[in-house]
Amino acid sequence: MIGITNYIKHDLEGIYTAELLRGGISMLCAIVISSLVDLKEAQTYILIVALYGLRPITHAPFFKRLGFMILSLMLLSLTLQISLYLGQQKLYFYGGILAVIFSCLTVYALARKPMVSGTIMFMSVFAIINFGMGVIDTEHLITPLQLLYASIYGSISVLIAVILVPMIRFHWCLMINHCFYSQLKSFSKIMSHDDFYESFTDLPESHKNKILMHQSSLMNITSFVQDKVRLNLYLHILNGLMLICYWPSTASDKTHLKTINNIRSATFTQIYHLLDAKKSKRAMRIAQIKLFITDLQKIPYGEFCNGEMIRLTIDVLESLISITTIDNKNKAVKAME
Amino acid sequence: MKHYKTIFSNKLSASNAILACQIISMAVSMLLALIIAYLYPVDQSFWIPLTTFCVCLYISTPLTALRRTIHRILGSIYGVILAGIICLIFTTPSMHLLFLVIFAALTLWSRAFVALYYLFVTFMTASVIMLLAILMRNTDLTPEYLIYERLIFTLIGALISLIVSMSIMPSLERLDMLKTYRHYLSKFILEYKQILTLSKISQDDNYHLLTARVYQSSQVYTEKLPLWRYALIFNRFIFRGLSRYLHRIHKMRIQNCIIAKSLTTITLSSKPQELLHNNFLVTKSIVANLITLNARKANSKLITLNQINEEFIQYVKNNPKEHNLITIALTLKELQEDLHHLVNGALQLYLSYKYNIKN
Repeated sequence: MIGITNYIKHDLEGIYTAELLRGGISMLCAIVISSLVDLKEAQTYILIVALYGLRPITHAPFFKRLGFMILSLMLLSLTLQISLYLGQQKLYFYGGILAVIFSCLTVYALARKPMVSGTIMFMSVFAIINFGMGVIDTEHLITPLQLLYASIYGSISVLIAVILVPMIRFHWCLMINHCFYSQLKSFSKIMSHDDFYESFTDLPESHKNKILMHQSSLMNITSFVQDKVRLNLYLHILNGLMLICYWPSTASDKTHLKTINNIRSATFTQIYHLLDAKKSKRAMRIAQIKLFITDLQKIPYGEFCNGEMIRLTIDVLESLISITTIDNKNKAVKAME
Repeated sequence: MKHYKTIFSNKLSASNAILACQIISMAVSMLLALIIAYLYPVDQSFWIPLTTFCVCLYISTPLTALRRTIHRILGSIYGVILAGIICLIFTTPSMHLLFLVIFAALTLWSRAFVALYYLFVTFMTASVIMLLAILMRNTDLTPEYLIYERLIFTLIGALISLIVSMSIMPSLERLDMLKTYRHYLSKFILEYKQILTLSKISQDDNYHLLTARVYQSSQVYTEKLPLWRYALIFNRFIFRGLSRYLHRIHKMRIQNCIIAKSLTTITLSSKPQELLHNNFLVTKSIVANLITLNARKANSKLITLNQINEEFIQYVKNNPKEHNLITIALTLKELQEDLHHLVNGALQLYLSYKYNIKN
């Protein structure tokens, strides 16, 4: 459910992964700094700022982004100072008002100013948590100066992470292809199952949901492919499979219906076997698909859909063979190198 | 132009009204949570307003509030169990620090799974508990105690935001469902029209793009389905009916792509062109009646549609030269069946009844 392939499928743009990397670096820097300095009770704030001070990077030029990040960190540090003071002085009324104002501003910013919403959101979180921490700190063990130093050290950790990982997103390339094949494999697997061969009306709702989720996910993955040749082949395969999946059968006679179901079942089974095959057996699977194509060509068109479904199926399988051949060639070239 | 301006301003004022409700809901929830936290005789009670804040953040309807509350509570329970086990097994600050980094990284990682909000809450909770365990290491508050309190506070905070949002936020689900149903019906008929008005779909790209566009637009309702699923708690009937309807309309739009694909290889002669045009006009009328929830009129038009389709099939059968039109004829018949299901389906009757439309 939440394995690496599934994760990348959810982050095809690589935005969250870039943030994850920045977050990891920021935390590591914060730990190194905290082991080098002694800020007594305020020590943990280095980690807090390093963990929650990181904002998603926007499309602005690098130095502008860095400027925004510094401004955001300053606002967060200021909120930490104010809320701690209000908490230590037990000023519940003002602390409450500050929290309510920031919370309402967060709702507004999320709807109207998404660029600054992250900063305001964490200002609200700090206004709530740090006020509580101030209330607990009855002996005023955390001093404003210590907190300031902790904020500076935390901010340095954040800025180091931003400088080291300045990119907004990663382009996964190979992983996107891997996601496509993995999704296509599971789609072919369910479509080669008997339960999915009743007419659309008789299919249970859960099955309809499943089909739609798989198809939508495949289409979504394809939209991130940048190589035009590959993209075209993927689209050929997908478009064909979508049409085959919903091929009209209501007004068809029994023989016609049987042919439709047989072609559909055999196509998805062939695709599944190819994608599931180990490297050594892939050539054998391709040969089997070629034999299947020859068998399809032998079916007399007669009254059967004017051969349109057959042509479409052949088109899909040939595109799949082409893309598999391209992948195999690429792997062979890499192995030679 | 004036008409579009009115629609735009209406939409704007509706979104403003929702935003105003969201802000009021947040303010009232936070005030209540802060008062309860103040009255609660425990120092860590700031967790109550924090939970309320997190649940209230993205609420647009009471259903989203319910969904986020469930995720929030579940995520908190999982996070507390996870951090609890770690705190009980590893008692040294250095180990707490190590797990803080791991949980912080997992929090960022789980952000990618937008639908699995509880996963994000789980790791967020675990990382905050590790932080508190480090922060409170010089106090007499034990991690076990903090964990126990955290569970109670999460429950109180989430319930506050749920109750407040249910009393303040407008219930938009039913309207949203009807709007979505109408939206996809209109999409279907517009695409049908587009296919027929193109003189000849010679490029493969046309139907490729069409299929991709159908999936792109269907993604909106696919994403809404899990949210509407929570409607099952209130009204099982309407959700099931609507999701079946939307799946059928999606399938009808793919059938349009099959017609488009067929037209890439065929030049229509005058008779089938006329029959196809008549089919479109009657289908358009049926869809218009479905949109206005007038099942009776739509039913009477279905009879005309059946006559046109039968004539089309007979024409194809009687003219061997036109046999290449068989896929289009079968697809039109399939579309007719789908329209029949929509017109006579339970949801259409339910919506007509709910919106007081007299047939």
